[in-house]
Amino acid sequence: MAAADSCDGISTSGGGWEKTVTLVSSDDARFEVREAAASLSQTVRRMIRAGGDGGIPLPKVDARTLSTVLEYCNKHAAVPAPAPESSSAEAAAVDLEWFDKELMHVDLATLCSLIRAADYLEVAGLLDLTCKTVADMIKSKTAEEIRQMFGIQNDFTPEEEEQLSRENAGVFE
Amino acid sequence: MARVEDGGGGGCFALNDDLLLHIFASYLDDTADLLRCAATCRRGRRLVASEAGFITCRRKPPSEDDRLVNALAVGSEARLQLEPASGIPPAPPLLPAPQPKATVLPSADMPEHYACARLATADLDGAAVHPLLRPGSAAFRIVVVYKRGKDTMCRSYSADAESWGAEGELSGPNISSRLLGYMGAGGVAVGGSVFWLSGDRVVFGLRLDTLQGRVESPKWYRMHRFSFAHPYPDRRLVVLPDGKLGLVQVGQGDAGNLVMNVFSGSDYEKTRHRSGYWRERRWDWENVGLDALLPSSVVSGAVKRMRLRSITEQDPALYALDLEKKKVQLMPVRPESCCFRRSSCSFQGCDNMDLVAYLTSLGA
Repeated sequence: MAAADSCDGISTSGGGWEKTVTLVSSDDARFEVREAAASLSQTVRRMIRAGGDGGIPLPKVDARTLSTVLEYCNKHAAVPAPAPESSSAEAAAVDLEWFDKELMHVDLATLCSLIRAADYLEVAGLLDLTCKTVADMIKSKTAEEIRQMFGIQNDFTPEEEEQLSRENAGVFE
Repeated sequence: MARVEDGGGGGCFALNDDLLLHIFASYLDDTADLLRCAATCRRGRRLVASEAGFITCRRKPPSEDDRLVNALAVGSEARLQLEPASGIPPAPPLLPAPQPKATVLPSADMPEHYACARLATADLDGAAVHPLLRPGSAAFRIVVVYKRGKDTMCRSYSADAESWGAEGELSGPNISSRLLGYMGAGGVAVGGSVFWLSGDRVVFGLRLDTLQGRVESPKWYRMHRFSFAHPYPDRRLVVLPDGKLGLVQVGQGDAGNLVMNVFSGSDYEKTRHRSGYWRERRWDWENVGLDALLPSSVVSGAVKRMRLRSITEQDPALYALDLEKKKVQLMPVRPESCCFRRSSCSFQGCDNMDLVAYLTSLGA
């Protein structure tokens, strides 16, 4: 959590000067992040441009979710753009893929809050990653399995259910 | 079931409608998966049914399993024309019902990916047509572009002769099967060529007189946010009122207002290029603010997204934008009418008409 109070604090890292911003979660936790990383969020980017003091409030994201989002942003913003087809570019891509995979090893509730956060913050890459993960969980499951996994109440009447299974014979096996 | 907004809870269906639709539309490629989601609860069924057109339009290239479903695209468009009174057939089964046999390519010849366009006589506008694409002035014809090995081929179906013509080979750049798969059945005809949008960026054009293919990737700049929850632009190729090739996209302006960008393509122009001269199309654009055009009840309601829809969908609240008069009117949707070209924005037909009708029927 950050000590800096201003939205354009300056800190040194890796020998270079890097601009940082402070993000404030719904439960008032403060995160100091490199501007380059925070700018992966289009919402934050717009707010940086609009200016303001005392950190950027993000009332729709709690600290736990925001820390995961920022983990993603830090990792993805850190990747420099090496010459394509070089071996280091390939290694970086593989590393990133592993990172993404590891990040998605969370329970469904966390995944859903990540989707909501990625959508609100407009982090396109994370939204893509999380939605894809949920879709993969749905794929090739029966309707009953999907209900159980996501805790959905079956609110069809018996007649409707019979009609559905008649119409879709073969699909639900 | 009540609309879930930002509710907590543990389930996936604790996501709001927009996000859930985004997952359904962009990541579930298999129709069977979609149908299973529709069968979980009322909300799932409502979402899949009400947004069927959107979901099928956003489809990725069909997988091997989806081939049969996709094969319907050729047949169903033709059927609409052949039997105008019947409109969209009632809930067909997932697998194709027996088709009028002439409208589908012989199954052995069914290509994996193909682009397809249905052309009425008016679309051709007296333009010259390659001998292979004859015979004669048919009421309509269907042009299909597909790969045979490394070659790109095309052939056409004529409604008059009720048969497929001979195969012709396309000249021009070699296009991939994948690119074709992204095109679907929404080709539009302008000035003797047919154009398809592949994905959201690449335009493929086919000259009907020389069978010459051409690939363009115009720079349609992102000028605003696209529809809520959808990082990808919702774009359609259209025929503009002045007969030019156009592209429309909708999204949110800076102030959260609804904006439609209308790009208008010029004829090819000679431009200076690093490697000499190059003939390119210039794209002019204008913004049409939709807030002022739509009834205030629509705008003031929490409209989060505005999408382009095909006019063949059975949607009770479909607005058509007259690009010439800049007027919006509520369209009575007549399933059998596919072509509103030149009088209003020509929303193109949906790729998988039968699939749309089927998914829509779930909510009936």
